[in-house]
Amino acid sequence: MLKDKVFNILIPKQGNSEQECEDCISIKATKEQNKKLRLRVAIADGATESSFAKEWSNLLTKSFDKFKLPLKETLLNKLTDLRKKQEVLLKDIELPWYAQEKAENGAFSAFLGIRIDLVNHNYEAIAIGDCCLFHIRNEVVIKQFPVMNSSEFGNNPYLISSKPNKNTDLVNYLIEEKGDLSKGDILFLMSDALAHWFMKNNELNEHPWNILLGLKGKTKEEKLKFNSWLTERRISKEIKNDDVVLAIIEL
Amino acid sequence: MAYSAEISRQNPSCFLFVIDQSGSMGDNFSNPPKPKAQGVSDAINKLLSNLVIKCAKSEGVRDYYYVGVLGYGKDIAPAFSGAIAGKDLVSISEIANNPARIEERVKKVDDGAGGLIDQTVKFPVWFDPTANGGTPMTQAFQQANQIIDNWIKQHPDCFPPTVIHITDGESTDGNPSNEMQNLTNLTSSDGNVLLFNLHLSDNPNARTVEFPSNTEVLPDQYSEMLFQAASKLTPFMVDIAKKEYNLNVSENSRGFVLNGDLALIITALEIGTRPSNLR
Repeated sequence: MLKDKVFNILIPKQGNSEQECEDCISIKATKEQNKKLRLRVAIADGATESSFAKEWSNLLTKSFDKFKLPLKETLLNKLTDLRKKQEVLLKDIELPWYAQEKAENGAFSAFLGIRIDLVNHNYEAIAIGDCCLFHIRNEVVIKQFPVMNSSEFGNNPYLISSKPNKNTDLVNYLIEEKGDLSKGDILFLMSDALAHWFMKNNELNEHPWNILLGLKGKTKEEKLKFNSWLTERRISKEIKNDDVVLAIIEL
Repeated sequence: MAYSAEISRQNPSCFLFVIDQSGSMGDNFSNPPKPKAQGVSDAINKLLSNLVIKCAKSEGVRDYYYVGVLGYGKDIAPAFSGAIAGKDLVSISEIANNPARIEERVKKVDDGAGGLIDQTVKFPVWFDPTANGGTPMTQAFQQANQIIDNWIKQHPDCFPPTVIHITDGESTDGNPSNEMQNLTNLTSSDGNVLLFNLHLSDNPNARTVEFPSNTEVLPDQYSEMLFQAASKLTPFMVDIAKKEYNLNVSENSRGFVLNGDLALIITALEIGTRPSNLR
């Protein structure tokens, strides 16, 4: 199963319920008409300061299941429809005065999507904001994007908004990347809190991917192990208390 | 590092507005020409509305903050109207659900064709203008100290409370410097209480001064006293003041403005209520 190549975990910030987690992930493996095997993985991090951010980040990740190349154009074309869907979703809810005003300001989300061609062994990815991709080969990060240095985190990144008037220069902030894949390569996708820790440790030559690889597992016990590792890092302030989404793709 | 505590429902922070309601607050601002008490009340109501909206999520309002408005003039007392009247600090969700009334006001908006059109907007009101009596600033700060001291005892690790004081005059019950210093000496594990003094001076020599770092341009002892008592801006506030408001501030700038028009008062309120790490 193609999907088995992907480990993923979603953990809300300490003190919040699972329902309040505004990070999202979607994984879609397909065998297409031309017999090409494709794997599409998207993560998104809804902005805490906006409302209905979970719904918006969910719409964004789900839409990536059918993304075609070129990714930037596909995203820009799909946005009108996605924004309409978000509007329809809110139309049926009766909101008090403050929620109405907040909803009018729109929802915001960071986004990262990767489309992997498993026959030709390559990938293309698109990102906005501070959800990060790391490509590891032979114990080295050979590519990371869109954030290039751990000092860049926390600078109020530009995010995708559900309101077009809040995104008039969106096209300038969409970053694309591509690369070739070899057997044994590992791709990590993660939202900002974990990505900051990962990048910082990589800058210190600490090989943080090995820690995450050691923690991955699909059983309930293994997920609890990951959870308690994260809780310890949050308490020691090595990792910011924020929602975490992580996907590990092993090739 | 100070001023880095997370603000969350488990670890909320607080704002206390200390508002001069003496008789002279009935005089007009120079711009726009409306009574200072009315302008300040509008600014506080707008700020409360913005705070509520900031804390609103799809499921309701999250209690990241507790807020109080302490008025001083004829009386010294909590100054909320409506269902929350008489309370000193109120959770932001209780504020959201209990405006004294929701007025409809008209604002000018872009019509998309180079002109302006009137748009009716909802304007919740929690705090009404009052201008009556003397200026018992010292006693007001004694009361503010008690409120903030109690808060910190209950929330010892909170992002430090911010107190924003708006006055047009001179204290009529002695020098409040010691009480202001007592206030800024209060600390949570994340740093000292922050005090902003916004001074609407009647001195004819007073020109507009925003977040100064020294007393050189201040016209009299009253503004000097308020400047000296005000806290230095936090690094995050300096950053916001520079980037979002294009203000010429430094790490030594203090939370003090003199004779600002209403727009500057609103800017100072915005900067004073923008801690860096809402979660």
